[in-house]
Amino acid sequence: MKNVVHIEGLKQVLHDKKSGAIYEVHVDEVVIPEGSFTAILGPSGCGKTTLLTVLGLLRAATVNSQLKRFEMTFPGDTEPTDLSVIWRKNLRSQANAIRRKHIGFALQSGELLPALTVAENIDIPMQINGFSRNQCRQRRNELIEAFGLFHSRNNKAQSLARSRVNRLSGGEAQRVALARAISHRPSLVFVDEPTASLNREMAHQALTKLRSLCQSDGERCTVLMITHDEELAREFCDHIIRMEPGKDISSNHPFGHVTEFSENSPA
Amino acid sequence: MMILLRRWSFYLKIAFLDLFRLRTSLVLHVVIVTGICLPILILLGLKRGHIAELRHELVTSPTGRQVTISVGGRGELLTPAIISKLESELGPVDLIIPDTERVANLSYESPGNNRIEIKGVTFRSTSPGDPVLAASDADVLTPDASEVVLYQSVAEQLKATLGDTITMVVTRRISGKSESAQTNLTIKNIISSASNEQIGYLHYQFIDAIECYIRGGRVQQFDWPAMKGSVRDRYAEYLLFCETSANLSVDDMAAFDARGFNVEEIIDWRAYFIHDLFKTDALKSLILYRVYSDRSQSSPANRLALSPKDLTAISAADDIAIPWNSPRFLTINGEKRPVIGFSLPRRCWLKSYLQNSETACPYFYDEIPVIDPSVPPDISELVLEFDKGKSLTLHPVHLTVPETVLPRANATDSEQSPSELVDSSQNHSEQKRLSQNKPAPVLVPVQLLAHIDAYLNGQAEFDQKTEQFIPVSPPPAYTQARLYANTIDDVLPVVEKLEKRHYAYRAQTSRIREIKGQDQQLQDLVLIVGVSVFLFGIMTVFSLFLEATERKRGTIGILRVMGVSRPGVFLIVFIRAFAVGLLAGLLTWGLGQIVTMGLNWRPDESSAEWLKDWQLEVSSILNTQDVLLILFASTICCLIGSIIPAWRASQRDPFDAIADGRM
Repeated sequence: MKNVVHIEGLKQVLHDKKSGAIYEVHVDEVVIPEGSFTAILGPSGCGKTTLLTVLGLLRAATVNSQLKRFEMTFPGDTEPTDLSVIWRKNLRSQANAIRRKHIGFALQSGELLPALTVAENIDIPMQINGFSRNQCRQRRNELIEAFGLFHSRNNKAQSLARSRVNRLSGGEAQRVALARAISHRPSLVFVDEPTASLNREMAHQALTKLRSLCQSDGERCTVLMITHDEELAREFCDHIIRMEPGKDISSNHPFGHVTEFSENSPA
Repeated sequence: MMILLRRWSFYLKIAFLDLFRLRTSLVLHVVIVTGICLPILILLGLKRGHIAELRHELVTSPTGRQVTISVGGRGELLTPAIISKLESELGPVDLIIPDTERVANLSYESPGNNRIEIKGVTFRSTSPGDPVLAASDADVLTPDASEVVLYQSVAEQLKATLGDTITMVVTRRISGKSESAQTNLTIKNIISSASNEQIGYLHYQFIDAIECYIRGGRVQQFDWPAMKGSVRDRYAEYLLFCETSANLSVDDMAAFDARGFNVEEIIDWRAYFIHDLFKTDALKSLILYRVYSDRSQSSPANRLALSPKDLTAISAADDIAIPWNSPRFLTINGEKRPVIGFSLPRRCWLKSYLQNSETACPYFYDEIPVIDPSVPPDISELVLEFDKGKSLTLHPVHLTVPETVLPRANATDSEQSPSELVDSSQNHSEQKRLSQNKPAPVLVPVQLLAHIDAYLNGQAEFDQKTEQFIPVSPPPAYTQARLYANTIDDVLPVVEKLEKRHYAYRAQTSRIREIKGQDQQLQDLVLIVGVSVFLFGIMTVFSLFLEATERKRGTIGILRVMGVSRPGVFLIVFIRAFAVGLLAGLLTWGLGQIVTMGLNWRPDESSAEWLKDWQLEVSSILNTQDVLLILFASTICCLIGSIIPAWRASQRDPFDAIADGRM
């Protein structure tokens, strides 16, 4: 099985402009196999989201000299793409193109565009990737169906497609965010605390659907999920990455680091 | 490519959806930008209104764009050719009308057979498009038509109405002789007038025709004849006869020389075809000179027009001068005959040297005499044809000594002659044949031959009806013309060009310059205020968009995370700014219209009582150009003001933007 992500020797330094504080994230080595469902577990402030921004090509590694390896392999690639070179050469448009095409994001609070409807929000990644109108409609209907984006009116289930997102409940918004993250059929999906605003039952349903859609026939989508819910991680994920906060005594900086990368047998 | 197009169209869609679905900020932005642009538009409207009020008098008056051109700097008159050249070279010229006028009498026979006549009506020139007549809705005259526009007072005096036919009588007085001609005119319009001025308008070509008639010319168009004897008789040379006892002295020769005349003695008289008219012994007692100038010999146009008396006055001798042009072969009663011009005063000593003292034509006559001894006594008229279809009636003088023989031309004579017999219709061999047949010559008055010469040389016309030679009418020349520039703004450039060409002119230039000066001052004022407000507007839009992009940083972050590039974010903000600018411009236009209507409103009869005294001293004109300028300025203001906010938005870290947006 190919590894979708292979990163080694990451040291990410963050400057908080407001407080003036400096944080660091250390990763010795993380390998994420293709088609896996991986969870990043750890307490708040240990650098989970920071790791996600680097892996999701939103930010470059700040200390490039220590980055031994940062590779991604996408479907159809014979050789992995060396992202450390892309960042070193500051090829932002190239990184943007990879992110646009191969990576999907479902963020913490849904982060939907308030001016758009559910359908328009789901269509965003597809339209950016140049899907035709028919392709968009077909895929959107498939996802609305899969995530159960309906509401009941006069005892009839009606699609939420035309609803403005500011009228959705937290759970509906989270499901729309998940649908949007995978609408353009990315190879790698980053999900930041997807169940934060869902009850256990809804979270269960959402993740079950996400997993089934990502690993259905013909799709080998890899999911990297940040969560605080260890139970949910154990239930759904093939791998678990644990991160812990610490303090670098020499520099007196707080830091987070990956302490464990273990295999898991989902329930 | 298709992917790229779909991506950019998505950016457009996002920008507009965001703009119109979240209207609150849009309305706020549009209202603020409108608040910046509206005062400029109102200021522009007030400026235009003020200038329009100043220009009102000039624009509505036909003389506002009129420039009266007088003769050129070197005194050259305005001919049709010069007017046409000025029309094409002066630039924005609507038309130029020769400014002429003539006085004539009018009469009208009413249906009741009452004939009313008024004298001394002044006719002014006009032309289609004349603003003077257009101002009275009377610009109805067409060239080549016998039509007239009359002042109401003239029509009332004549008791004529629109469409009636009146008679115009033109009178000319030349050398104490008075003649009149008339033509019918249709009244095409009547101009209301408070005064009793006797004024009418005719097409300027009609006035040219009246002018031609008054100067003695013929007007073929109205069948008006030329004045009798009006063409000058001009001669190639003069023959000067002296008796041997009273020959020209050296002083006489010097006097001729001083006046530019060449005097040559003629040894062989035969060359002048008058040899046989004189007694044989006369040749011993007479000396014959030819007097001419170099110019008179060189061109028919420069022939001499002196009376014989003027020439003989030069010398102290008792000499006699005879004007002389070369004899011509002309057709008399169908036969080619040599025609010699020979006239002598009624009493002169030279007649005593003639074989027959009657063989000389008089200088003054009513009917054209011809001396032809071969004409039987019962013939009272001969027809002289000097050109195709052009003929004169000659009246033979029956001599008391009928056996008189006139000199005969022969080939030898004509070859030796310095002034050969001329026949414009015959070639040389034909002339020779005629000479050999020795047709008998005829004597006619010298003036007649001079007139025929002038006609055949193109310097005179012939009126077959009156059998008169008349001068060729020179092209009309005018002392002034009315020039109309396209607009009053074009008057100054036209005047400048006239100045360069040294034309004297009259125009409302000082008033136009004053208005232009005020216009420029107000323009500068509006420009200064406009630029200041525009800069202030840019700053306002900058702060508005900076705040808006800050507020929307969450949305921007999400888009960036989804894969929207930095230029994409820039474009989305820029499109939003463009839409705000455009909408603000349109709103400014709408509000500007309302404000303008309010400023231009004046109370009328139906207005409420308390409003009737309301009088605003300003007026406003909303010009399309100004509206477009404001539309453009508001859009540009928004685009410029949004550059930095758009750039900053595009440069934000996507995850920071999302995190900040949550707060």
